[in-house]
Amino acid sequence: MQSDIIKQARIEIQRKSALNAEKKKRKDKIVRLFFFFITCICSLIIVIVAGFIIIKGLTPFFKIYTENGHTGSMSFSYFFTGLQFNHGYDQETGTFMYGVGFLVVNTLYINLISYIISIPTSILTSLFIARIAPKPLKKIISTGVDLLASIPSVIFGMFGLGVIVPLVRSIGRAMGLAGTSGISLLAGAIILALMSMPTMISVMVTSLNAIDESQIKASLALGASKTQTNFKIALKNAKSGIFAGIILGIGRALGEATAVTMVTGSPIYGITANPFDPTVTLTTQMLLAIGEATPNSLNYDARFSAGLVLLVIIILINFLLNNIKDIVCSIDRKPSKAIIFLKQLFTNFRNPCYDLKKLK
Amino acid sequence: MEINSTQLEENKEEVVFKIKDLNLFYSNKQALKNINMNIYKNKVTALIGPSGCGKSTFLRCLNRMNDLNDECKITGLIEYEGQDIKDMNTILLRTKVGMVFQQPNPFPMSIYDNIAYGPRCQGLKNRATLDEIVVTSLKEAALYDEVKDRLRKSSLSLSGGQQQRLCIARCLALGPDCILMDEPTSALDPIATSKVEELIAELKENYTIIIVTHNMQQATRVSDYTAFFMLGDLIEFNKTEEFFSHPKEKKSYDYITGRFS
Amino acid sequence: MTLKSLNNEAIFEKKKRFRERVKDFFSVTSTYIFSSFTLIALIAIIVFIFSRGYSTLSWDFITGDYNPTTYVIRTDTESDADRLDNTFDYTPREGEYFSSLWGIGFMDEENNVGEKIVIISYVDPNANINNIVDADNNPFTIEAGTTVNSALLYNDEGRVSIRIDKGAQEVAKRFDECPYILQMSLTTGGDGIRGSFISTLYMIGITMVIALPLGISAAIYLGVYAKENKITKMLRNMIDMISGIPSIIFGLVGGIIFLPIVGGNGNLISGSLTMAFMILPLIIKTTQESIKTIPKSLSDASLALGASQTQTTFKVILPNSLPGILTSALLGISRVIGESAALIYTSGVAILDTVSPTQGSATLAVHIWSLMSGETQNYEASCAISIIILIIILVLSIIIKLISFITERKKRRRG
Repeated sequence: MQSDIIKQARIEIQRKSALNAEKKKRKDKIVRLFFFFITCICSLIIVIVAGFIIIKGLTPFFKIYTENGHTGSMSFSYFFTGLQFNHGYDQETGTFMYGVGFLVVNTLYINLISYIISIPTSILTSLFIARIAPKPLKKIISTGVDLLASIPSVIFGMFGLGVIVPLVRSIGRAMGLAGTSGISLLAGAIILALMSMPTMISVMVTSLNAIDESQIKASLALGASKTQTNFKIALKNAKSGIFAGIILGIGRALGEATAVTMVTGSPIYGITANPFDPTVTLTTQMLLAIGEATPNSLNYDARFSAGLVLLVIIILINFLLNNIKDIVCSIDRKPSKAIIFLKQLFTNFRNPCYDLKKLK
Repeated sequence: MEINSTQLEENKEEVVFKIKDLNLFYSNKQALKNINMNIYKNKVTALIGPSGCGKSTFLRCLNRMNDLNDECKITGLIEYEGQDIKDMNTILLRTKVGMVFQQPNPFPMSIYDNIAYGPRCQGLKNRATLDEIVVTSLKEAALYDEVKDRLRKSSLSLSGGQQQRLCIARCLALGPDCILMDEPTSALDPIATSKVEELIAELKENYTIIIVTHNMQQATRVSDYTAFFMLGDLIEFNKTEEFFSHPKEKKSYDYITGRFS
Repeated sequence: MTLKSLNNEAIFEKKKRFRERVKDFFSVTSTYIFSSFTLIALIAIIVFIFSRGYSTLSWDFITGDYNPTTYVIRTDTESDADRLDNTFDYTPREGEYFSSLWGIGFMDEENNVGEKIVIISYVDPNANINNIVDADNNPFTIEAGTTVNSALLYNDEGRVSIRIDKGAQEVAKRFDECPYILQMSLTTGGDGIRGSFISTLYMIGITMVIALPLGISAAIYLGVYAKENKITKMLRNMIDMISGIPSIIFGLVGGIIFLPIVGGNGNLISGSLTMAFMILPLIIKTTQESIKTIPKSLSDASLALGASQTQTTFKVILPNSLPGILTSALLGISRVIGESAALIYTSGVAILDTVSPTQGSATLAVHIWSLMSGETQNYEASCAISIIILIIILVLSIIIKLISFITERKKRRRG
């Protein structure tokens, strides 16, 4: 059946294969190494970013700067307790006073208000999309959420300035706050909520769609109404997904800069509790008047300190929420060692005789 | 594990694969236990046994496809034409020992490119030769008449049986000595199956074929030798006629007579 | 008695049912209300942007310069053509004031920043303005739509200075009185976004050239080569962590790394490098997902045919993950288009008309930031840019949906 040409060709193939096999193996190794190298470079970005933020963020405490005829480094105590980002030079201690601590309070406060808006809205919306809505509505709203997610933050900021700010102003005026301009903490919180909601909703909807249908049927079979099932069983089953969504949304809200800066104004100092007052947060302070700060000046480097604080806050909150998620979601599972330890700690705290009893 | 050594010595056949004390472990589970057997040139050897008995795993050892699995550890010796395959280059080994998989898996390219893939990978660029190889391989796989006027069409437009024969043709294009088939007909309908079986009978003249099958009738139809695996053990290895007419082991007898499957 | 208690129980049961039903109704209604909240927000944003920006959006806006061109013109006294012995007839529209001596109509208007200006709204085709020259003594033709900044006229009695802030009526009246122009400043164009548009394109191009090869290589390593061990897990976690870093931090770090290299307030290259860092995890993740969906049997088949791993990667895996790569690129592009915080630090906020990669200039999103963060806000131009950005992003996401739809259909056909 085989013609001579084919026999020749096949012998040729086998010969070439034998000839090149070793070379190919070597090439494979090189290519693999190359891809590994690139992957290492990509993953090193996180090290570079974290390294620069940490080093540059800590530099102002140690380096001696000369500005406006004064020399000194950044004051450590004012950094945490001060109420103004740039408070000038302190003759007594010979340090520059840059405050960041109050920015942390403002950041957490504005975020808290935004979560009060965004978390319930996201949970109910995702429940609606995943379980309650009739099909056409479901499609419309989930497309809307997708679109909202793809809107750049600077457009949110513009929308905030053009629509939310006047809205807040009129609410404020109606409440008797004549001086409010609408550029305020509340407007910032609303914008933050709008921006973090799509992230939350999409994660929550995914987890609500993935829940075990048999649980739902069991609940319905036990005589619970459809709504009761949706609110009790579905939400309970998707708990870990809902938490994951909240964590992602909070991450986005904490790091948001441009949109918030546009609607919260730029007061120079202070902590404000009134939602109708302008406020300044970590991210907005980093962005404010960046054009006037020259690189390697203290004003510029202090922004790295603020960035470092922001990163630490994000990591801490992530860590905290993940632990809470583990605790809340592990009702059936065995508690982790850390939780057992904590529980023991608290029991010991409440009952000093605990150890003694154990000893006996 | 005892093999009737006198029986095998009588065979004057040329040995292609010689397997000695082969053990295979998946992380902590032993999937193959002390396998000893020979595979003879230009014969069809069928590997049968209940599912999960290690027959496919054994087949994948022969062209070192198990290397791709990190958790897989192999001890023992497999010789291919007198050479330990552990020392062989896998690329070279796999050009000599082709493989056909359970599910037809043509590349999402044209029929022509599918068959030319192997030769091209070995650096064959001459168009005329490639054309010749494609046509001959398709003829050998008894597919040429069905596809000759649509060689440039996507291979995914073929039916399941045609796709599987395309995969066989793709494998033949390299001019291997030996073809491993891992349940090649399990995803096919009866008509396609009979076509593939006919093909195997034809290919026997030029190639050594090792075929895994869960279908005992198929083993009797196509194979010269049969190896019966169970739970990682090679229970019995013998000529197909003798295996099915006078099984030496009780387990083989039970399996053939359908006591368990 | 038993009957009564049974009856009571039935009533109680009925009440309970009713209460439950009311509760259910309120629960369901609350989800309706809250989910409409999202929709309302979206609609509000779109309506706001379109209503404010639609009138500004035009081809001239997209292709025009941002910086307006200013001309200084005067009557050429050396030419001896007899001047202005005729008058022009024109019925002015409402709000328009016509100078019959010059044949030019003036109109009051507000610019995008909200200042009152006077524009030339009509020029008679036969208006005798040929004697007017610009600063270089070249003949100048006045066109409708230019803004009058200032004008100093004269007649036989002497000079007449025109107060622009008094409005178009006053301007037209004074023009009728004076047959000669001593000095007049006109402004045309401006507010266009061509420069920002081009820098956005540059930014996308350079970012993709850097990020795609790196991202695809990393995705191939993680999806094809990497063994499941601690190092792989660590690499994967590190790449995941990148996506959790806020863009403003990327801006700070990008600034401190790249600005000393490129100098000044950064340029498009330093901005693109920063953006490439930012979108890498996105590209790696999306590409890796698509590599994961390639059936293992394909790469097995290729290896069983004696192809080397490299050949398998480039001939089987890469072509089959092309839809994923394309999707990741499009996602990356929409990210670049929308980014502002990181670019404010790394490529500057200056809006330029002639753009080169070695200069720092604003992209479309940063252009909006520049327009909005000043003393006065230019909503019209910002909204018009927003419309453009939204349309681009919408088109990109439709393409992404189309790609996934086509690949799904192919997969279904194959399966």
